[in-house]
Amino acid sequence: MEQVIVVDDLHFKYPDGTWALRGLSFTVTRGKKVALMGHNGAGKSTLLWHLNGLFLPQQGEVRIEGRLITSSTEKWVRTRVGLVFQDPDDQVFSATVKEDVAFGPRNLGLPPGEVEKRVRSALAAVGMLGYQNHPPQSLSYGQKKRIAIAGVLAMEPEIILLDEPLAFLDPAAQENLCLLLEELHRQGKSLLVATHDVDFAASWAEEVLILKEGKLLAHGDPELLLNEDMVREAGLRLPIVAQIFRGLLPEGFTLPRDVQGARRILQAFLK
Amino acid sequence: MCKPAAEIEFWQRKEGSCLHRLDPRVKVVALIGFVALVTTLTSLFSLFLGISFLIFLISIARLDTRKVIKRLSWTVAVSGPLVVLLSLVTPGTPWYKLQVGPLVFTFTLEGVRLAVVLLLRLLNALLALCLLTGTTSFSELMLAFRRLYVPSLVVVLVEFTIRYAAVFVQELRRMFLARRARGFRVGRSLLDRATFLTLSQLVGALLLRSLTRSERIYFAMLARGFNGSPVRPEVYPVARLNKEDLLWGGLILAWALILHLLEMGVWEWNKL
Repeated sequence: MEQVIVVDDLHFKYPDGTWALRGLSFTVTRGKKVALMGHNGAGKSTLLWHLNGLFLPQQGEVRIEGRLITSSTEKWVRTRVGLVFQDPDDQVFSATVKEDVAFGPRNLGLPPGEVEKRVRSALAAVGMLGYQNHPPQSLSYGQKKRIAIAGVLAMEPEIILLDEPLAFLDPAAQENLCLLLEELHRQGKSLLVATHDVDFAASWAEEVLILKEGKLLAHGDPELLLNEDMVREAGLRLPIVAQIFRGLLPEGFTLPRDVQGARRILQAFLK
Repeated sequence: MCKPAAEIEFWQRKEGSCLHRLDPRVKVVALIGFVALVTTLTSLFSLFLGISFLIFLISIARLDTRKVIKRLSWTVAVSGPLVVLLSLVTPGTPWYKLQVGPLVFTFTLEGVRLAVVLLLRLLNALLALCLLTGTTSFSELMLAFRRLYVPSLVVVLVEFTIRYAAVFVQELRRMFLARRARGFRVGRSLLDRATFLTLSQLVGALLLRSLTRSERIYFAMLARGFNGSPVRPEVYPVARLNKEDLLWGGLILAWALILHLLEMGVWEWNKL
């Protein structure tokens, strides 16, 4: 499997002297759904900004599809890696939805016809096609979030990074977003989602990266999130379903990490 | 002949009109030209004719009259002090004398006339602005500016101001509510030290938040390929001008020109 993201010994210190990343190394293979987890200040957002080329490594290196990110390749990187910011009000800045979604494709230098096509297709993908001429301030938070994602989709990146995509969304909007992420996964996109939501990560991700104080604490499948000592060290918690079953299961059963797993255990007991 | 407007924002009625359908570039050029010409008129009658013409256009556009009047209402607040001040400071024929104790204030006819001329010019400009913003959506207006080669930086600044004014008002409201929730009472005098301190901290916090937000917006722009150079105006799609556009644009400008020509020589009523 092709490695689309390779991070090697990445260090980054903010101008105020705070170390955000301290020797981070990991790889992500193409088409994977990866959850990036860690407590506040663990370095999740800083890492995402490096992967989009907004920050350049002070030490170590980042490679996207085999190409090293440097000042000369950062423009190319942004055509391959799309970043959805946590607060859609930071990202959706144009006067109308259509103008905002067209911002990225226009920066790619695409002709007007192609820009129009991509805008329509991206808005259709997030279910916002009828909102083209709406000013963003008239939209709800969830709708703005979808527009922010459409703005990135319109650039047709291969890798999509999302910073806390579920934050402040109501359950219905969260469900819609999860469906959209599934659809993007089906299209073969590589997805890296920074989140605090253990339940979401446990049920959605194929791989989990856990950061602590700028270092990689663990990298593996979502079963990692059932390791109580490790999640506690990372400033996280066990998934809710795992908490319910903790101490109740006989030997031979492992804690479930999502609703489907819990259902399977209950069905086994009922039989 | 008239089709419904494809997109209407802000405060205008949903029904479209010929003026809604008019190419935004034509509206911008014609109405700015109209204002530039009409606001240099000096005859009261010509200025009234300018206003009448704009009211005629507004009625064709079927704009919400109450909202137009509401928008113009603040001119009443401006006009009162303007009339008083100018009629007091402009030398000329005494019209009215007001004695307040030992002080005598003399109002002059020339001063009152000057104030009325300024007020009518202001009304012409505001009605033209109402017509422009009432028949053109914000996005169309910005697109027209771009296609008219208004510097991209200026257009982007206008767009950002409109977009983020709402965000900052919301932020200010939230911060204000958070203070009220912790016992801060509004309505005290600004001279009250605690109130003054709280409000100044609020403004300071808003400024800092604005700075950090502006940084995040800039990074969000970079993340989507922005490299600092403005997008060329040709990139924005635009329809070709048709006869109807040119006819309306020509009519609006011709009216202003005729008023000017009449005032320059033919007009004899400017002593009104």
